[in-house]
Order: sequence, then C-alpha cells, then structure tokens
Amino acid sequence: MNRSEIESRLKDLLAVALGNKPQLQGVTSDSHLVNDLGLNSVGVLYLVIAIEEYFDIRFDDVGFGDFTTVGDVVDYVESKLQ
Amino acid sequence: MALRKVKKPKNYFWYYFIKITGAIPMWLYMRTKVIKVGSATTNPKGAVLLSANHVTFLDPIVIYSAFPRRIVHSMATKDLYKNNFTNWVFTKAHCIQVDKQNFSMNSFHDVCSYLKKQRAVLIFPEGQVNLHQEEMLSFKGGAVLIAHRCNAPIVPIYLVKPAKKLSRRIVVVGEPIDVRQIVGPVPTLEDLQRATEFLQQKEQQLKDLYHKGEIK
Repeated sequence: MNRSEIESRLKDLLAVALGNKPQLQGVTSDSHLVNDLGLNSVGVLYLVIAIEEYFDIRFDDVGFGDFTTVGDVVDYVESKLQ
Repeated sequence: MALRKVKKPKNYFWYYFIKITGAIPMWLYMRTKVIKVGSATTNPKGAVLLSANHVTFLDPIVIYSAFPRRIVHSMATKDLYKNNFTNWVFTKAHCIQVDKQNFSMNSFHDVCSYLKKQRAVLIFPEGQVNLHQEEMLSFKGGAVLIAHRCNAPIVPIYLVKPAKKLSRRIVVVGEPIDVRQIVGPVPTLEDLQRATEFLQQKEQQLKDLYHKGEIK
C-alpha cells in the first residue's frame, strides 16, 4: 500500500470518527489533528485504534503527543507496513 | 519520557499479598460499606470496567476491598514507577502504567489484554483526584472508548467523600452499562461523548440516591 492510499484510508476513518463534518474537506498531510480537525486526546485514541484494526498493525511505544499532523500518522503507518 | 519498561509478573502472589495485607487496615479503620443499587453485584462475571469518581488517593484500595472476589487492575501514573521500590510494588500489584500527559498505546493494549483475560480494570474518568470540589469533575471519554473497543460493560461506582482521613468508606455500586447498546458498533466521537455524559449521569444518580437517603 502506497502513501496516497494510506492517506485516503485515513480520511475514511476520520470521516467515520467525525461523522462527515465540514472540517474534513481539504484535509492534507499538513492538517493539524487538534487545531484543524478538532480532535482531542480521546479523538486521537479513537483514530489510532481504528488504524490498528483497519491496517492490522500495532502502535507500540508511541503516545498521542508524538502525532501532530495527519502526515505524522501516515508516516508511522507507512513505516509499520514496510 | 516514555513509560518505564517493566517485566510483568507471571503470577498473582504479590497481588494477593498486597490485597490481603491492605485489607486488614481497611477492615479495622475504614470498614468499607458497599451499597448495591438494583441488580448491581460486587462479583460481576467476566471482563468489566469499573468506573468510579476519584476522591482520595486510597480509592483503588477501597475498590479492591469492595470487590474482594475479583482481581482488579488499576491504573498508576508513570511517576510512581520512577522509584525502584514503588516500581516493584505497582508492578507486582499488576497495575497498568499510564502517562497522563502523553497517553501511550501500550497502556491501552495492557488494559485490553487484561479485559480479554476476563479481568476487571479500574478507571477514574475524572482523570485526577478531586480533593476540593463537591461536584464531580467532567468525565473524560477514554473509559467509554476502551469499554466499547474491548466489548466490556462499565460498572458505575460512586465513592462517598470521607469526612476525615480514616472515616468509614462508602461505595455505591450501580448496574452495568453496555456501551455498544448505547452507541452501536461503529460510533462517532459525538456518540462516545454522549455515552460519556450518560456514564457521568449514572454516577451522579448514585450520588443523589445516597445523599437523599433513598439507599442505605
């Protein structure tokens, strides 16, 4: 799975989490998880759990503070899938 | 700073040792009284998330004494693992290490693995000890999310704030809540927030019932 596919799946998961809210429009790799998407700590936990289940990977030794933007999450998933 | 690496103990010898030796002063001084509301039980079957308001630092021990027949895993902040002695105690007590500032997925996996083994996990949704306010602090959504993903019911518990340090401790236990029944299999964050508010309302109801004298 390449980077753009991961990003696309991530947007799908965000759409489920946020219920297709307007802030999802124009999401890019640089979108800030908290400031742009309005995710709080529970929101980030939700997203990470959804990613683990969807991609069948495990986030180890990482905390929420380690992810600032959508791109950070994509980077991590990409590294785990390789 | 990441969580301190700890080697999980293979058995529960020290857990029971700590629980039993801790129970003696509890019986002598605090004499935990448990009030069950409706079909509530202190021996719920299978995986269960115990959710309580947090009024003193001794609350986990109070809960241990209120649920004597269950192995209860409580969460402990990573600061308690810095010292070698406390690290030993909390590790042997099968506590779950958490970083409050930067919640680690390792903590989530630990909680889920215990729930998959049909154990009870204690969580304080207020996120901190509420020493000074009479009203409960606003609940954080982590408890509901964990219960949903691990498919475990939540038992709401109201801990009565003790008048003095060694006053009798009263624990009001409510009926279990099935989060998936409230929000369905694929909830949005708004749904989870709604379920979190529902959980807080349930604990508030237990508080009201107790303070109005409707349960004793």
